[in-house]
Amino acid sequence: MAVPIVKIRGVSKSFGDKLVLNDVSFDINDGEIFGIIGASGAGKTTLLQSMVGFYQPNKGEIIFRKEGPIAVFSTLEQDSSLKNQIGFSTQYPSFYDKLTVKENLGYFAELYNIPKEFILPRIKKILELVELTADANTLGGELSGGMQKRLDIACSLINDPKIIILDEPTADLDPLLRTHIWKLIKKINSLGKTVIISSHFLDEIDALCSRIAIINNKVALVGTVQELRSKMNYDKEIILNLESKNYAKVASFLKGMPISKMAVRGNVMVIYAKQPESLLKNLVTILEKENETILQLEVQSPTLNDVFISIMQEGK
Amino acid sequence: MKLFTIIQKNFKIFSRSKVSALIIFLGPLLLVSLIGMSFSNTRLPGLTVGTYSPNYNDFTNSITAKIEENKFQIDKFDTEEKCSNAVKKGDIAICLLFPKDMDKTNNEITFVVDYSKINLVWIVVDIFSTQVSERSNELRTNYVTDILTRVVQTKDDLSKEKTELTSLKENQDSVKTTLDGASETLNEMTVNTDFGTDVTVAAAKSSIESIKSILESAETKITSSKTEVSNSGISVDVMAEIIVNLNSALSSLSSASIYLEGNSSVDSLEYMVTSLNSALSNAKAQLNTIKQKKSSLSADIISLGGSIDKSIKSAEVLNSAVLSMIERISSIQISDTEQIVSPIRTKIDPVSSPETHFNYLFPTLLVLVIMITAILLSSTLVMNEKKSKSVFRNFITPTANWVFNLGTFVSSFSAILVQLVIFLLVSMLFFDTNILNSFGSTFFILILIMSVFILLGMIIGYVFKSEETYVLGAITISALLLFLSSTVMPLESISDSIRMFASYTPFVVSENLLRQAMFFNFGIDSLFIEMIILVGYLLVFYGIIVAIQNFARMNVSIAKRKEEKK
Repeated sequence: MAVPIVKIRGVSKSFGDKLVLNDVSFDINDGEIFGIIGASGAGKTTLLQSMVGFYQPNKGEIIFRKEGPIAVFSTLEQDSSLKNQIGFSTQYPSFYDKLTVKENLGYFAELYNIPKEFILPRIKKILELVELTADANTLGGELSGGMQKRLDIACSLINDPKIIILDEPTADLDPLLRTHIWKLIKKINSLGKTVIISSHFLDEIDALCSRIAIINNKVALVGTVQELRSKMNYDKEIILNLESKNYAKVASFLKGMPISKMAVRGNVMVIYAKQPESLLKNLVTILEKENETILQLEVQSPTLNDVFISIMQEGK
Repeated sequence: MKLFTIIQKNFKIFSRSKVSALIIFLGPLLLVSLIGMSFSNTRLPGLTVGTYSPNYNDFTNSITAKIEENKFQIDKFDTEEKCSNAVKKGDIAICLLFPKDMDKTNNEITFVVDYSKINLVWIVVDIFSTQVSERSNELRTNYVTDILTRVVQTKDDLSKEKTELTSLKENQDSVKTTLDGASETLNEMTVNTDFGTDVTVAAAKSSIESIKSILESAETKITSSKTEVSNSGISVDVMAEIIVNLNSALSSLSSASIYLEGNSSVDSLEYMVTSLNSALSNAKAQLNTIKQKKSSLSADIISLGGSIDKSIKSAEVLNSAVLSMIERISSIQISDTEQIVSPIRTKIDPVSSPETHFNYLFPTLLVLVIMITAILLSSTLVMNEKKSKSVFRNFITPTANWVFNLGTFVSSFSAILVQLVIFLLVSMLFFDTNILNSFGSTFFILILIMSVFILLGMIIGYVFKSEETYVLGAITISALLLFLSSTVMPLESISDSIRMFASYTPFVVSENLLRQAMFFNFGIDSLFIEMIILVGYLLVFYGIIVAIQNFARMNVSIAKRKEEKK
């Protein structure tokens, strides 16, 4: 049974008259990779930064389960030592350009009150984890984009946190580097750490996260990707590509059939239907009678992107 | 220890910025060397003086020579206008316009100065007024010496003539005494013209008969006496001698009788009486004349005595006047020319005794260096931290805000301390600045001053948002503090209300503190109030920093909202 490690309860945050977070509530379970997605300005970063106390919610609370045999939950205000349990990697690397990789890690280790004797072994371990051992003495500012991201993640790991928050971890990275970061995130998660990711790359969330929260100033949906898809009860898409491209004739055949809508997208026709299987049989029969040559005919389930777009549109 | 780690981090970052490191360590060296070399004298050798005179003469040349004696360069101009224009252009500091045919009576020199050079004009006017007045004093001294010599000479002459005057008075006294004697003699002289009744002839005849009778009696008695002597028993010698004498007497009596017999005629007697009476009348008349003359002479003597009395009195007055003049001249207490030329002499007794401009400037310079470096350095550190990518990560660590503030403060403090040590060492070694006399209090004050300006710099760093504006802010505030001090213009020259405010600025308070400690060796107890003011600044500034940091958190929120609106 999933055990929550973070409980977000009715959190609202406004900047002036703009309400950025409106009564947001959900739990994040111990050991999972939890994704937060939302449009720009939906409040993702505000929520994540509120989790580490950078912003104070106007309403609600964010409580953390303290490490230990007994489940004790408290907020950061109640127990500032909880800060030691959280690591945070921002969208833009947060370290000193003029310090070396090792110095940056050493500096933040001191700020997290890590005993002197543990600092060097921990730095060594983390550098191996993020594959920066060879660059330990390179200045932070001289690292490449991907290495800087890894250093930033390394910095967020220096206090050996239970929870790692990664805000847009692969923003501005090329696809290859993104893959590396994904691997790193999985590696970190495999060490038993709870990872919270916010990203606008939905494929990334889809690939990495066990559970997702879609927020649009308030929580729209929380669950696994499958749960989200099913919850949304979306139409499936039938993609039809005819040699003749005579889609007007097809449209006339489809009249009266159980479809939601249809549209011509480039060379293909897309037909939306909740039960595409029965429709497909009838459609193929009709087209054969009409001697139409079918180049492509396939059924596609809605992606996370579709779910997301749909929710965003509903939000509007 | 977190604080040490933060300081270490600050220095690592700082040392990796080569320019910053150079500025920190070479800046003070450069500054102190340049300023030290510039101000290591007590004169203003760079001053050039312009002069114009329609005709230079000994008088004007003596003034220009006096100025040249003091190593000032002199440019002589052909026209008055050229000389004035040179002042306007700043080629010369002052133009001295001499009048035509300048001499003792025609002696007005015009100074042409540029009052827009407010920091220099008073010094220049003062210097050249002094130069000209020195020459003026020399001339004045000559004049007064001449007058004094004449006065002394007059006094000597009067002293000499005073004996003549005394002698004159004595002579007059003598004359007066003689006159008084003459007058007395004259008065004692009696001229009696009353001779009684005239002598008659009958009376005279009777008298002659009586005398004849007496003579006959006497002859008888002598003859008798001769007989008695012859009968006496006395020695022959004595008898002879007595008889001789008696004979002689008898002979004389006979002669007298004969005479009386021969002249006893009435005619002869009448004639004699008449002649005698006539002679008497003449004598009487002459005596009357003498009597009149005596009266006239007596009156003249009295008149002469009066005149001599007046003359004596005049001589006494004259003598007294001469004495008084001598006494007055002698009583002139100030006979020294210098005292007359400058009856009130001023002596400048400096309360401090630095030997060069650099030493005078040293406390100001020290505060200035501390102020600029502290404000720039601490604001730079704060701005770097604010603009650093790591600001968020620092925030989320379990580290209190005051630790970061203290880290910035101690880092700035350490760097400025290094600068200060370099600055002081160079000053002591090369420019003979002595701070060791009051090292304890000076050092304590320096620490306070550094702390105040570091906190001020931190405020600037927190208040301003961009790197451009914070530098501008730091420079503006430093310049403002500099202008509101006596460094550029005396505080006394600004309006009362602003002066009141300016006299309590950190710069002015620090400068006063340092000057009093360094020049006059004032202890901490004497400087207590000023130090309390600085401590007050420390507390207020730290309060402002905390308030700004809290406000900045709100500001982040506002910035976030604006960002999201975009």
